Amino acid sequence: MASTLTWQQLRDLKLSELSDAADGWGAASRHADSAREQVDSRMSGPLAKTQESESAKAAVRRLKRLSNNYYYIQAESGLIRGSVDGLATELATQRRHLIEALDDAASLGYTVNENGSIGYPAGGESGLTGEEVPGGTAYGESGRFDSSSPSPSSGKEGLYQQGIGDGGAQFKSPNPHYAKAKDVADRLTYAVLRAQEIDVRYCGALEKLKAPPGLGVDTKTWADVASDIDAVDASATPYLKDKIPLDKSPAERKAWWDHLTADQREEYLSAFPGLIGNLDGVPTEVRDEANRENLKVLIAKLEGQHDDLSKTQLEGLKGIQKKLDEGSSPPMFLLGVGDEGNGRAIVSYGNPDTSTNVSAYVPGLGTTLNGDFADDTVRRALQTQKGAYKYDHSTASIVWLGYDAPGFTEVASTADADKGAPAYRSFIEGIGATNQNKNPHITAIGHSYGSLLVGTAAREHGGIPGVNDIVLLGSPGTGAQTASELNVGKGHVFAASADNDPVSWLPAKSSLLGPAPAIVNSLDDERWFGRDPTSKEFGATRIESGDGPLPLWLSGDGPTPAHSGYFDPDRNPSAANNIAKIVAGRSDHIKAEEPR
Amino acid sequence: MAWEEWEQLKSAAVERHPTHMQLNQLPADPGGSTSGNTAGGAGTLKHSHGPWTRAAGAADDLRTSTGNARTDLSSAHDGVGSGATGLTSLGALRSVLASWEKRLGAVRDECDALGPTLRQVAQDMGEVDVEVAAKADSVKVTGTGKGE
Repeated sequence: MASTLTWQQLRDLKLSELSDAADGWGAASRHADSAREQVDSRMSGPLAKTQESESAKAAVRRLKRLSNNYYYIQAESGLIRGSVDGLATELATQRRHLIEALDDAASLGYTVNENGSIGYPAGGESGLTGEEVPGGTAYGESGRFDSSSPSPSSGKEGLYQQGIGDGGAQFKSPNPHYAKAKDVADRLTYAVLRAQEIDVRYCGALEKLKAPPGLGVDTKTWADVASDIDAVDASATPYLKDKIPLDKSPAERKAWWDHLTADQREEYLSAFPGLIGNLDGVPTEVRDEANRENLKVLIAKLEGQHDDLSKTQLEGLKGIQKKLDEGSSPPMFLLGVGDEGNGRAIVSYGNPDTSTNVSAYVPGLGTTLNGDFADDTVRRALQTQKGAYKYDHSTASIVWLGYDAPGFTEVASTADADKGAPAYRSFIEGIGATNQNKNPHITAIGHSYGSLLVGTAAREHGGIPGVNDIVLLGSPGTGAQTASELNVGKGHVFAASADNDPVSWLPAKSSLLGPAPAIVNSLDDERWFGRDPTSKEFGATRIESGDGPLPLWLSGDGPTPAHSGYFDPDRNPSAANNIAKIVAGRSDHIKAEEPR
Repeated sequence: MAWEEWEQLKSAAVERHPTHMQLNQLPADPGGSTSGNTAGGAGTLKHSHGPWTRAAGAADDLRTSTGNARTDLSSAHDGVGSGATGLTSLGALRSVLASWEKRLGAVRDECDALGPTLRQVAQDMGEVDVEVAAKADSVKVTGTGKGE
């Protein structure tokens, strides 16, 4: 689809009319939100509670459809609002550039022709004849703009129109008006071309936001909402970049969010839920609200896809949904969710904005967004919180799956940790920014390959922002040779390895290449990714840990029960209790053990 | 759910009517209840304040507010035609608006239909909520000697 917007039309746009329309969608979205609440609280809720007859059940089903319709209207109206606002805002910029060009033309006494070319008067002096150089017409880059004009960035074709007046000779025109007229024409043309591009981009997004007829709302509807969210995000990228400080620090984003009006917050939340839900620096409760909606539509989207990855992720997301529905003590907060890569999920037990102690655990080898993650991995955050709670009630514990972890079967490289480390740093910085306590106590926990990610993040200049303590569990190495490289100060790096955890014995890569059997080399302290953090030379505090159960072939309890047992107060009480103390800020009470 | 299905369920509810009539007649039953029911009769059952009636009221409210939301949304676009001349997006926005006007209209009509329907069910069922029905049931049980 092409845009045929002319400079005259761009000039005459009344963008406040578009803004009014956007406000109309905002109002429609708000109405639908409150209508849905009314259906649930005044209609289906009481009927479901007090009536058991078939007609009541049927009515509740029909009311559920009504409620879903309102939710659908709320979600899509929010997206339409964002699109129309984006369109109006981006066009306003180009219109301003155009008006400036037109003003310049007017003040210079040039004429703006119907086709956007600029007529200029005679001026200067011909070196050849000594006479005044005649006036002419300057064309903007890309020449006469029409729907078939190439954009300025696509090449220099049409820089000068063929067969018009003095053609290329004008380039070195001794008439001083020429260069000025050319500049005005260029700016005019560029503004119009940009406006056309904006028009086309948002037109594409809007086309997707039509409602199908009838009252039907099914899983396909939510899948459409999911892809509409993506489409609006993609189309509105320049608007987003302009409005939302994506390239700023989490602290600056926090300040930005704090200064928004309630109306603006609502717009961003409803128009860009995927973005706001995963934006570090946005307060936890806002992220949680956005992500609960994101989760719903993601589930619907994946239900419509039948590849293995989608099915696996779906299992994980449904597991998380189930946990959210069941409720918990402490309450859960969904700080991130997504289907990029192998899938993303960040879950907190307890509110990390209000808690004094916050821990963020990075899971490792073989972790992916699946049923096991929702069940076992997420439980580790709960175990951490419950353990630390005994020492300090004000504790929130997070599991952070914000990266693609390598699988057990891959020969792991540092690539995944390198990729994930900046995201983890940003996340932790966000926690520091949104935490309402003066001096929150933040603990980074890396388990297995996650300890390499934590190590990689910590080795960056300045360490992981705001982190006080680092705990490395079942580590195959952190990339560091000594604890001091992790930038938390002496006595604040803790490591545990169960003697029956094979991952913590992974020998150095180099030893696998050599002729000597790996088992011999594993007796030294070089591990897959650097020195064993529980070794004396590394210089961390080795916290007491049980040996853990024997591997599968001896215990029959999963392939590597010792590797996955550190958080479990039943399977490894000493390690779990030590983790709890560190997270609660009582690391002076831990039980240490001799380094390996 | 299709409208027909709803109608079927509704008539099924009506068919069960005799049971409820029986409940209503309980006070007059010679079963010998001497409770206060005799004085109030059917009038002691919550006819007009039950959940069905309240839900019907909510449906009426939503019909009105949804109709207004639709009108407001349409008029928010009044100036767009003249303000956005030349934009390809204008055509897209118009068809987006038209599609949602239809959806909002369908939702409003659904509320419109739900109001009377819920009210009818309320009437058919004598708006006996579970609590009241349970009380009535216990009376009936002693009366008919069904035991536990």
